[in-house]
Amino acid sequence: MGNLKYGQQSDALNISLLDTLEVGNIRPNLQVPKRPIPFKLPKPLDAIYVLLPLFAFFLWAVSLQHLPVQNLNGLGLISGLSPRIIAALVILMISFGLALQQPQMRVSVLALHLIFVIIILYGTENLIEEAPRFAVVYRHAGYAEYIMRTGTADPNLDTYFSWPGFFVLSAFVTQVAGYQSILSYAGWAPVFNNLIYVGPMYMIFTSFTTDKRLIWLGLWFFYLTNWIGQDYFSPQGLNFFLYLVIIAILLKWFKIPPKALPLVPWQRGQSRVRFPQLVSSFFDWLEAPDPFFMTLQPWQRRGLLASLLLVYGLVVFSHPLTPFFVLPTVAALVVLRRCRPFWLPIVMAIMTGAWIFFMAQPFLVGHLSLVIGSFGDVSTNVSSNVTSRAAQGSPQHQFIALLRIIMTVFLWGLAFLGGVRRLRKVHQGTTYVLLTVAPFALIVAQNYGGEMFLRIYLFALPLMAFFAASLFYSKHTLVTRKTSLWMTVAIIAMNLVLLSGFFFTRYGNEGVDYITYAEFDGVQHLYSIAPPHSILIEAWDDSPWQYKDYEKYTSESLYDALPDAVIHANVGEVVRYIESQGNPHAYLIITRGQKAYGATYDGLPDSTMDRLEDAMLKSGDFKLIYRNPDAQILLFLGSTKGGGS
Amino acid sequence: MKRWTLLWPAVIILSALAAGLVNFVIPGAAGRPIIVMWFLFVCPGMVLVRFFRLSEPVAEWTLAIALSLAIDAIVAGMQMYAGLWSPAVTLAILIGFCLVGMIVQIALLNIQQV
Repeated sequence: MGNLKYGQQSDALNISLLDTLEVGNIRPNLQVPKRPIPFKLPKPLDAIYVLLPLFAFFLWAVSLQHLPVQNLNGLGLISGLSPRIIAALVILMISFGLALQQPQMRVSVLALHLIFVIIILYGTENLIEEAPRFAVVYRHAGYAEYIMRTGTADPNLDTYFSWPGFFVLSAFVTQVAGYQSILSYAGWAPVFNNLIYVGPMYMIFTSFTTDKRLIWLGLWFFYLTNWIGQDYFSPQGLNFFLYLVIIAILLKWFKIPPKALPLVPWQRGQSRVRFPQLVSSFFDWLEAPDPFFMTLQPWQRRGLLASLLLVYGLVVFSHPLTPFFVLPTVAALVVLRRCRPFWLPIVMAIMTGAWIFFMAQPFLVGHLSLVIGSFGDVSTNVSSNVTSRAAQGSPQHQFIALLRIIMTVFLWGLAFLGGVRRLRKVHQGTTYVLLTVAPFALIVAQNYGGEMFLRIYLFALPLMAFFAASLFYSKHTLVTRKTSLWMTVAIIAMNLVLLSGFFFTRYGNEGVDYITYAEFDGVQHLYSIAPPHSILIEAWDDSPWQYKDYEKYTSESLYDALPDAVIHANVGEVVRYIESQGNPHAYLIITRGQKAYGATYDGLPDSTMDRLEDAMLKSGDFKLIYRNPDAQILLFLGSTKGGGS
Repeated sequence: MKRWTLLWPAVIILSALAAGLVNFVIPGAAGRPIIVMWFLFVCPGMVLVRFFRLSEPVAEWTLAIALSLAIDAIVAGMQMYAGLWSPAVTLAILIGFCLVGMIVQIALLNIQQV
């Protein structure tokens, strides 16, 4: 396969001697010196491929202005975004397509495009909105603040303290960087995370192909389809990077070379069984060696394996779910003889088990049924992850949820077609198909609070994006090829389609995720007046609270405890609930985000929280002690009138 | 010894010293977050990666960041579980680790040259 010969060299892309070896040959790391590559002066026309992204970035930068949340409708960020920002992105999409298809394609120009698109797609909201978005980020701030203040992580306090690695790291970095809270920099987490994802994905893709166009288009598609939003300041955002690094190390340096692969019976000529053509073709494909092997010195192998285990140590220490994505993937690669050493998944399983058994026991004692309760119940897991999400909430939210499903199916469909097209021509890629499908095994195990499908989408996304890009570059060749105008138009059109979907799928719920300064001011005021050990109650979900003094307050949500009482403004039930807590100091907070959450995700009328507030004040059991446009705080006075409804 | 082989040792040693300076001597320095984050996110891992001689910049940077985060978190975590939480001491340990690692690497380079 492949029509390359040893020593052939691309003059267009600075492909080195080492990149041009036939597939299946061993690409040595140290022994073969690289041939010096002659420097070529850029042509004057090349400047346009630098000027276009620079202009787009400039246009975006001068178009950034404060975006009040009132400007957003149920379709999210797109409804309030400056048209010039969208124009800047369209320019970037076109410019990337043109630069990618140039005969003299330059990697530095593509890298410039990629950096700009990451900053614009993942950093814009942090620059035009108010406080850091996502209410859960404030709770994460509370975990880090607890560690900073107490120097401990009490696993009895919260599940996350059984896997505190990310918060320990956050607390440490925050303190030595001189910040008071992670909220000073947490808004930049999506940009930071997405930038660091580039490296391991590049390593994974280059372990499969030398075609730089395919590699860069795969990376580009990843960022146009990473709408899943798990890259905020969270353990999973970091752990996805660590997962990619582990896979990249294995594919780069620990593939099993062809001569070490065992021959199947029909290859040895020993089998008496005649397999049907289709079956033997499948097994041929399954057994076909991966391209591009690297030989390493034993000390290099040992060092890299130790590094891999060190990185996995942080995975085990910092997130309950990610080990269960890493383990099956690594086990599949080892069991099917794609990578070595054989003992790696065993050691990883021991590390995971030891952590759960010794360090996360307090969590398991109380939540074992939660962990294994839905094992094997695929239909329930799928419905809680997909159908129930798409069938709830406001019509606009349902539209966003439907669009997410459509864009997911669209990308997976592209990936399927691209994968089939590529694999038919390349006859290799078992490893990469395994990496694409392995995350789907997790849907059998758990629904993860209705989020498992989101995680599966994320963990499968790099390879899905790569195979989708393979639809455009399916030949396993070097990059010196004729570039057609139609292909350029098709790539630009695909970029624009994916970009249009991205703003709806990623930022479609921005009206909920947006946190205003006034909301956060209200929460800060609550913590300034509520004495320690008070009970703090949110009327509905999604308050930016628990960012400090995590263990000093009991935080409750009527969304979980008494949703019907909120919907029907049943104050008596709320009063009884508060009294049952046995705490004389109770505060109820209503925020803009709660109202948006109720209206968007649960289809509540906009007036629901206002009616509840009115009923509470009329009952005489509550007193309004703070109000700003986005937050109200009510003090529970006791059941002076026995409650009312 | 080629000039570029000393580039990373110099960068790491200077970064370690700068991180120590803005934490222990002039904590009010304006660039403290950037200096500290650069040091914590790149240097401890790069110390190890330099020993592997991978000669691939993307792989080196990727491993350096991942290893740095792992080393930072594991050192800080060990201190926390030992009841000795102290970010200043953790930072001092990491600075020491980087300086020792770089001195060893420079020594190895000299031995190879001889």
